[in-house]
Formats: sequence, C-alpha cells, structure tokens
Amino acid sequence: MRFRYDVSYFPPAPLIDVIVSRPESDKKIKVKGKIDTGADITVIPKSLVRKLGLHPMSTISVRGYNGKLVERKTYLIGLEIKGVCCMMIEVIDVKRKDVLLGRDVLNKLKLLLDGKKLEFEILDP
Amino acid sequence: MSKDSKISLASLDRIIREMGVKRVSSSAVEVLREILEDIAAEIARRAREIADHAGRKTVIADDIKLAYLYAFDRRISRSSDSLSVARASAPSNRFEKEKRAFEEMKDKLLRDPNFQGKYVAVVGGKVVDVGEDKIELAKRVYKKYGYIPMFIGFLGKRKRVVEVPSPEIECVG
Repeated sequence: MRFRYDVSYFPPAPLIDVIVSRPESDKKIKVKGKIDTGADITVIPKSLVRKLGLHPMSTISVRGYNGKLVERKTYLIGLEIKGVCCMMIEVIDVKRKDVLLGRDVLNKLKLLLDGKKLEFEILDP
Repeated sequence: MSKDSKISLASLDRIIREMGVKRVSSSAVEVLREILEDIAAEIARRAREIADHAGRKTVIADDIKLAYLYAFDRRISRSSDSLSVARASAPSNRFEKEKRAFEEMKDKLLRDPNFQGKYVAVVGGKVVDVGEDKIELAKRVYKKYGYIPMFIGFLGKRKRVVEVPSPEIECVG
C-alpha cells in the first residue's frame, strides 16, 4: 500500500491513519500516526488515554532527547493500521496530537520511504 | 423487613450491639442496612462482570473476593441531601496501590525460582498470573478479570530502558 507524505509538516513527514483501541472493549479512535524510526517504543497522545479510559498497566524507564531517564506509565492498546496489520502493543503517553509509531511497530513491517517523491509504501505486513 | 430490603434490621441490630454499643436508634440501623445493601449490590455487579469476562455463567467465590477488593476501595460520603457511595480512588490510584504491593512483595518473589526473570501481574494486592511475555500476560489478565487496573512488574536484575528522542518526554511529568 502506498501513502503520501503529509505536507502540512515542515519538512513533510510520513503519516498514516491508525486506529487505537482499548483492550476488551469496542472503544476505538482513529488518529494520525507519524513514522519515527528513532523511537524504541510507540507513543500515544495523553488525550487518547482519557478518551479511551485506558488504565496504566506497568512502568518503563524512558531516555529522552536530552539523555535524562524518566519513569513513565505504560498502557496496553490495540493498534490497527487499516488494511495492513493489527497488533497489541505496550505504549507510553505524552502531550502531543498524533501517535509516534516506534520500532516496536515498524519492525513488524516492510517499509519503503521515498523522500524524493514524498511517498512511502508498506510492502508487507 | 420492608418489601425491598434483603437484610433484616434485627440481625444488623445484633451486629451493632456485639461491638459493645448499648443504645442504637432504629434510624441508625436502617441507614446501616441501606449502606450494606448498596455495597453488596456493587460487589455482586462487579462479580458478575468478572464472571462474564471469564466466560462463566456461574459466579464463583474468587469473583466475589476480587470484586470485594475493588468495591471496598470506596468510601461513604455524605452529600447535602442523601448518602452516596463515592469512589475513594480513581483507577490511576488503584494502579499506584498495585505497584506499591508489587514493590513490597518484590524481594520475597525474587527468592522464588518460579518467578525469577519473569513478569508478574498484581491485582488486589496479590500476584494473579506470571509469564515471560509482558503483553501476553496483560492480555490474559484482562481476559480473565475484565479491564481492571493492575500492575505488571518484572522480577529480574536487568532494567529495560527505551529511547524516545522526543522533547515531550521531558515536558510531561
């Protein structure tokens, strides 16, 4: 499946629609997911935790861009990339508007980024 | 006993007196009955949910015990016009409680070879399941007990550190 980069970002960024759901329920929300190969773990917006009524299930040590270690709560979510894949993953939350798709998700996909054409392709779920 | 009441006033009166109370008004006994029936109904409702999630039609003793642990995590508060049962703690507080319970048990569990190098799920202050895969463990617990607050902790020496080079990680506490 082929997707266009989102040109509302500068520089344009590879974003894809994802559906985030709460375990053991029908509650789900569609949001934009930004491909972030630098992130070890997927990050969801804090607002999603509230809207889906997610409970924290564990904690994890996270090293941010300044090298500082912080302990963050983690949540189990269902993540669906429409027409590509569906999986249960452990995520952390921060104040941001879109999902950061980390390598915990990306390493399950075959992804081809064509920055010159501002498009990307998911070749194999 | 009034038409809708399930607990007799006489038995509650006896319980109060067994606590060394010499005089008790009839309205006090009636209020106690109202509160206890409310709590019993809440425990029963939660127990039914737990049994449903486990795919059982029969509510078993463990369902009642687990439901009680959560229902008891409530307090009675008096509003201006009526008695109401209010949540004493939000799910995030219950998560902190489970986390504290894990920290208290951790040293003891680490000495048990059955737990070393594994994840344990704590619900109601007790270890309810154990496994090597954190996500599979979480899925099992939610499947068995429903979507309830829990804490999953690791019993090992290594500490997993993930890198997320995003400025928001530092901005949010």
